[in-house]
Amino acid sequence: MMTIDDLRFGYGQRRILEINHFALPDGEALLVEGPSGSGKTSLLFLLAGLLAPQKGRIMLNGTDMAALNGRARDRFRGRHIGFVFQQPHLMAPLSVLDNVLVAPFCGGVKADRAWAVHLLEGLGLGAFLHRKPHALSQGQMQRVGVARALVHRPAVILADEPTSALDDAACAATLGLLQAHAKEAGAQLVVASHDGRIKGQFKTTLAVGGAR
Amino acid sequence: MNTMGLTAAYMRHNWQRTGYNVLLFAIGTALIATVMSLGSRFENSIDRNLHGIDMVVGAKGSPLQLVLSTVFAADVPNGNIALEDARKLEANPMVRAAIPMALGDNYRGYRIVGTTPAYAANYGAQLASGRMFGKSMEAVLGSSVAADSGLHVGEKFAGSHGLSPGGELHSQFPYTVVGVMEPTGTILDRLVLTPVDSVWYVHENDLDAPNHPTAAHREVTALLVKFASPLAVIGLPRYINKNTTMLAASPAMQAFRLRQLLGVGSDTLVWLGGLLMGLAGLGLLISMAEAVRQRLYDLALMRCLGATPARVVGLAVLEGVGIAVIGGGLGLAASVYGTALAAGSLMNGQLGFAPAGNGAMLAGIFGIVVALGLVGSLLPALRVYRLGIPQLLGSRS
Repeated sequence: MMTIDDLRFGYGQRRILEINHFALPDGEALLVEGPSGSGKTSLLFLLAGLLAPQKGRIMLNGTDMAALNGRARDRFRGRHIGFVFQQPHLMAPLSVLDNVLVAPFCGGVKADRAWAVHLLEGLGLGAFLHRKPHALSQGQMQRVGVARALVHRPAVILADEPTSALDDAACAATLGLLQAHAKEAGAQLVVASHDGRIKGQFKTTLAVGGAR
Repeated sequence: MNTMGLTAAYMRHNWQRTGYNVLLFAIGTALIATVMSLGSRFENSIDRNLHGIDMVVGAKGSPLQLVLSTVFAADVPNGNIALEDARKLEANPMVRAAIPMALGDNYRGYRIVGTTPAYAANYGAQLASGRMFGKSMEAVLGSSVAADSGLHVGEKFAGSHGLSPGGELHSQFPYTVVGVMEPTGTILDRLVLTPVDSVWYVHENDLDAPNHPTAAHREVTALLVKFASPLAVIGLPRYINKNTTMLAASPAMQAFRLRQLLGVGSDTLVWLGGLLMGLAGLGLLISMAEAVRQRLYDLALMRCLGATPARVVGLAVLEGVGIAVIGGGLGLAASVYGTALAAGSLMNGQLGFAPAGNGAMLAGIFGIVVALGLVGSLLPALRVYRLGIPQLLGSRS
């Protein structure tokens, strides 16, 4: 369960986000839509506890992110949140498999290597486990990023424009994978995107950017 | 996936930068360690050789040469002094002990010193085998001489004329080895000791030897004097230099002059080594700053994946410390090996260098090197604390 109450966020006088009340039940997927600069990514970072709201409260699975101290927030994020970035942001010195395993390492949870391999194989990357990221195509890197977001079985999956750099086929595959895993794990999926191709795939949408 | 593995992966990935930093640290460390350890060996060796000798009395000439030729066995003597004069000085109440030294011959380049057992006793020499010399033509070998020549107790050898190898062999007057000494870390290790009588005997009876002396005018090369009272230092050397044909020199003072002569060089090297170390530290600072800049995305990503700032800083610091440990270790190893080599071949032959137990000094240098690596990587890594993760990971919407 995710609830947002009376949320205000901005930089200085510039108000970017204003959400009075929003709730997302467990196992539901949410599309955050809005034009560029509308605060979609800021909302994801707020949900991940990487930004602090100016006002308001965000509850994830009964935990108030704002009430946690920095260290506890880092731990909470490492355990319960999976983040898919717009850019894959892979670590160049590490193999594809290690790029996935770095998530539980950073989050301080036990790495499930077999599960990581299974995820990568499911994403069609079975042949690249021990290759470095530079050997991959953009779409393949993005899929490694997806595997990294899923490997520690997070309760909340946050994805920032996960499909904007992908062609139609890869776009459908990546989104399908995120939705399938979220459903299977009972995780909440929050996708921020202005990609018109995926709009029809979500029952729940939240529009941001109207509160300037 | 663990901290060490992750650090190693980054160091391997940027192997040129890693290698450059390791090299910088290794060279700086090696230079400092070598200079300091050679310096301390040199000081130690000088101090050990000076032990128990307040004054050296020999023929007129250069005081530095007199001290070098007797206490350090590193130069030719000024000449000889009459036994008669030496005896007179020995009887002086200001003199507690006077050890005679009669030089002139060598065995394979090791000096044969005609003296008394008191000379060996002054350096606390212990016998590894056999006994101390007693009769004429008996010889006790220093540890290096015995090891080099392979001579054992009971075997005979002939000395050759002069203080360096290649002189005329006194083959009809062989010495008998009666004892071998334990290593002392002094010049003693590289000497052959025999009674003064032996030296007289060889030279007075070898009619082939050039300008051979006679029993009527016996001479010794020098006397090593220990004062009866510290007050003797005020008057006795002055008296000898003014009123006799002999020269009195203070080995401590001459050694001080020697140190000053060589000190300029070794001080310069210490400064140079320090400068290199400083440059290595600065280089690490700059290149770690660059590395952190290149890794900002990765570090921000790790923060995003739940790593605490401390852990991320720790990773960056571990890399710097790793470089310092590897570079410092290589430098120390090179220095220890190089110093051992230099001490073995070059220095040992001249001044009786002993393997100095300077582990504490090396550990101190290593500690400083690692601290440099720590600070050099910590400063840039602290940027991670100021990181705006959202900005770095592309918050544009």
